[in-house]
Amino acid sequence: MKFGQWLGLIACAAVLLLLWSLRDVVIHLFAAVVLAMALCTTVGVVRERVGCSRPLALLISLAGLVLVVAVAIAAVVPPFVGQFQQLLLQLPVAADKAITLLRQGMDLSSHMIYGQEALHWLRQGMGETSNGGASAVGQSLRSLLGLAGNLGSGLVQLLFVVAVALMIAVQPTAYREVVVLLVPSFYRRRLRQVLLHCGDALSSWMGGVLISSLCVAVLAGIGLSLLGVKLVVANALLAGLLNIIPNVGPTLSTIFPMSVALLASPWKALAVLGLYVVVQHLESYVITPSVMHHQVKLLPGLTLAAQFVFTVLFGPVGLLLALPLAVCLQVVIREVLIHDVLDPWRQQRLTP
Amino acid sequence: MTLRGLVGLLALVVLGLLAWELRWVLLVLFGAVVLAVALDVPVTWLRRITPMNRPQALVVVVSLLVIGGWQLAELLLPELLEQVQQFTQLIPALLRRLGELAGGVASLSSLEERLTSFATFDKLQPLGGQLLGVAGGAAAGTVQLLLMVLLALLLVLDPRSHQRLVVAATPAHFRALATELLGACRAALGGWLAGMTLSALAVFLLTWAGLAALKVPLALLSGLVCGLLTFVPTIGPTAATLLPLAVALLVSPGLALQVLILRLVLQNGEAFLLTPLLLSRTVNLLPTVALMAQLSLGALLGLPGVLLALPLVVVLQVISQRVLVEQIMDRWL
Repeated sequence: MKFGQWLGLIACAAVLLLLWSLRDVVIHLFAAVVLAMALCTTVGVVRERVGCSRPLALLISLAGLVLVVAVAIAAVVPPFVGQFQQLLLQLPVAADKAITLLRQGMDLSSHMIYGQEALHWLRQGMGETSNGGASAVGQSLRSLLGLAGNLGSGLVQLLFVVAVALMIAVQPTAYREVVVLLVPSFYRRRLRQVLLHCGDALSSWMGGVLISSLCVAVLAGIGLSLLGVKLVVANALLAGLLNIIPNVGPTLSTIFPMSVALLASPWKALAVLGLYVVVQHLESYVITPSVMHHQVKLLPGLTLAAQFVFTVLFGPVGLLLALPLAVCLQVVIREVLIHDVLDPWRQQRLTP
Repeated sequence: MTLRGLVGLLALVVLGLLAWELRWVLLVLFGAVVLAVALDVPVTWLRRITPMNRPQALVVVVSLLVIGGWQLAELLLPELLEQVQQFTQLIPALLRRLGELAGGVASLSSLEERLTSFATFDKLQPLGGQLLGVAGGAAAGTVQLLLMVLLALLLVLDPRSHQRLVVAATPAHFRALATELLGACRAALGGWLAGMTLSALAVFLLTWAGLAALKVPLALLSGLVCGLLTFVPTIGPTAATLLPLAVALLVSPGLALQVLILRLVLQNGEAFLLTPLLLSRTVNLLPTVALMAQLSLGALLGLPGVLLALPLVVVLQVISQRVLVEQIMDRWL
């Protein structure tokens, strides 16, 4: 190798190290890109239906999105908040009841998840309810401050992600061309194709997830109301929202309705568990395969592995974004690594 | 690869590691370069219209700046001092007002109680240590700032020889490109600084006028802070809005809303209309790139990194456009 090539290699290593130390920023950038992709998909649909120019379509879709979110908040949040408060108040009672049951024989992993969650909510509940009690004051203050700090930094991060997503959605081609300019000229045309593939995969994945989440929320709501469990809307909404995170999310979403049902009677909790298991399997074996695009399908083992790896690498945000990351990585690995690097390799070795 | 190449490579790696260790010094150096360019723009302009040599022009510019600053300070300082004093008196009232507004939330009022109970003596001792640390930090910051100004003056006095020094440190076949690169960086940085100065001035005047028209107290101080923080896009104006907002909240929540709307209009007008218009001929920055750069440099270098992020991005963009894209990637067939 020549001097220039060595220099390039070292520069690449330095850039990778820098990116590694900035991985928080990178994951937030990826979140913004995913959000921008969702916006662009909506804009594309609007343009197809209405047939107007891009800025107008962007405005229409943004206004529509804001309207939908506002209506959803106005319709769902007040009862949701009321129910959620009730849920929070009931959780300690349910926790007491459940712990005795748990000791009799639930497996260790669900015990761990449950314990952390219940502790978290308990602490928050204590911060809101207890005003007296000298010993609890310092602790609850600390947890309150910590919660406020977390909430603040989370809000700032969310604001950042939304702002960047909006900026990207305004002129997506400009950003794509900048990325394309940064690779060797023989590869630019191909990279543009790969990026377009990634965008397609992401938007079809998001469409699929939207449909399956809606289905899960509706199914869980119907099932819970049939079983006569309280707090139907809150639980159904939670089930739908947490469905975005596979494996972990559905497990988490089972805890709340089960603890509520546990207050009524143990057999009801078991019935809720059965309902959620049925809904979950329906979602993963019937709904998802039929709505997900053929090329976006991920093997279940791959999904779990991706979640584990990205959680270790990026923290909770990584868990939230594990699936979009896996979808993009799948496209990149298939197109770049397998199609462009590994497939021609065999021919090269045979020719000399 | 020969022994010569290997030694050169090793030297470059060591140099890179050394630069990483000394990144604070390099940041100060970069700040000095930015300041030097900011001074160089009026000096060059002055030299073009009058037959002065460079030191004379520099003396004229610096003395004009000092006199202008002095005049401005003399004109504004009494009012400003009064306003600042007013503000320090207002802070407890503001806290009380906020507490009243949030009185419905039980946890917040208890939070205030606990905050006051925090201020007992034994807990003040680490606070004293922190205060000393802050004072030490401020002193170090002042020294760094002085050093930066001195370096900038030296750089402006004789930019050609410094430029020759940098160019001489590159391989012979790269020197023509390096000269051109430095010129391009200088032009981009100068254009950016000139555009931002105009834009900050406009924001300062408009904010002052708007706040004065709304009869918000401390209008001048707020306007000045908002104008200065315009140099740190996206993050700066948002932070700057907090000051007039807090002051207006004291008067009435309705006024605070008006101030918020005024600042939102001004800030968005500045960010999306004025700055692109002023910078369109010289620097073409994508908005996300600026935001990402601020965040990344803030994570790497802290607050000074955030303050110097935009000039650094302007320079980096020119360098990567000229070297990475045109010299390496475009030719890689």
